[in-house]
Amino acid sequence: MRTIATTTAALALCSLLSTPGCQKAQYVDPKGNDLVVSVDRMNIQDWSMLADQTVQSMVGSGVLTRLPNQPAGILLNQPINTTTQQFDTDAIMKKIRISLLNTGRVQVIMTSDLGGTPEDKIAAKAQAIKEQKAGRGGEVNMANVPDATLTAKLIEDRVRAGNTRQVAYVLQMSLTDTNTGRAIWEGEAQVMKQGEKAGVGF
Amino acid sequence: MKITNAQLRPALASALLAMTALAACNTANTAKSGFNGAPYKQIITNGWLKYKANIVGVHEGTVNGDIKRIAVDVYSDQSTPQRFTYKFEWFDASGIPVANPSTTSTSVTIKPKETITLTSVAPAPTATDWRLTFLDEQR
Repeated sequence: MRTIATTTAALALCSLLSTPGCQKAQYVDPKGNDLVVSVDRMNIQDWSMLADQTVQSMVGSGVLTRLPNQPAGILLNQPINTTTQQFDTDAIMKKIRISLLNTGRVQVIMTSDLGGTPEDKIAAKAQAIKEQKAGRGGEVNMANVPDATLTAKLIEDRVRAGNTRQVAYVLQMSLTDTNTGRAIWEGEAQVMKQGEKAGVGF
Repeated sequence: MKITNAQLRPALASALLAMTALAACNTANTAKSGFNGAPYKQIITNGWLKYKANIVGVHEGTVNGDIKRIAVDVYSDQSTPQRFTYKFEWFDASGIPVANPSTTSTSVTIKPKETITLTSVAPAPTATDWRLTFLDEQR
């Protein structure tokens, strides 16, 4: 009896004490609470939070129904990244694009070369061929001229007090009506983290 | 030194109690929209969490003509600042989740006796029902 009780108590205590530290590699929910949080760099949850805040602000403002055409064609400028990190800004911008498309109020123009080269070069060539076949080869295709454009800038701020470090990431965005050339919505999203070292949590 | 059964029992009971308590503090509280105009419904599985994140009001409206949005007032009855995380999810009329790439759990700090408002805009016009999940944050 005593052996069984001793073993049970030992197992219970062992599992209790070892729960946080004995895990091997495993898949985790990317939208859950058990992700690694690093004060030193941006995490996937930072990208989601920045995208979520800006989309909620833009859609919640009701500005999408006031765009000239419905659904409005938009073009995105290359985001400006002034943080200390080099990363693919599509990590944030793609989430914003998907969310905006899901509203049904805007469509992203993939074949316009106003920003340099078309985002989808094959679609741009196919569109040009179709325009030529239709006898509109030399004309400006107004479907490629955006009703609105988006600009984005990512900023970072770091401070330290003793062993505690704090980092803030700020995403600033503007939506410009190309008929008037004026910003019709501006939004700012912030993520702030504080700590001494990376940990698991949210 | 001999350990008797009488000495072991309290240790065993304490260990099991601690494990149960740890498991219980990770349970979530949820609130979801009511169907056909019915009021929202709360499902409380964590009493401690309810004391620091208790829903005291829900406001619903639309934006952009056909996109639903909600604002949920949350009150803390605690006498010290508390932290919790929350997550909004949206569903269509059939109860199927509507995908949202930027859905994420958000961590908030609520001051003593403070009421804060959590807001969410539906990801698509088809999203008509919502679910708000609270999780305790004690790390």
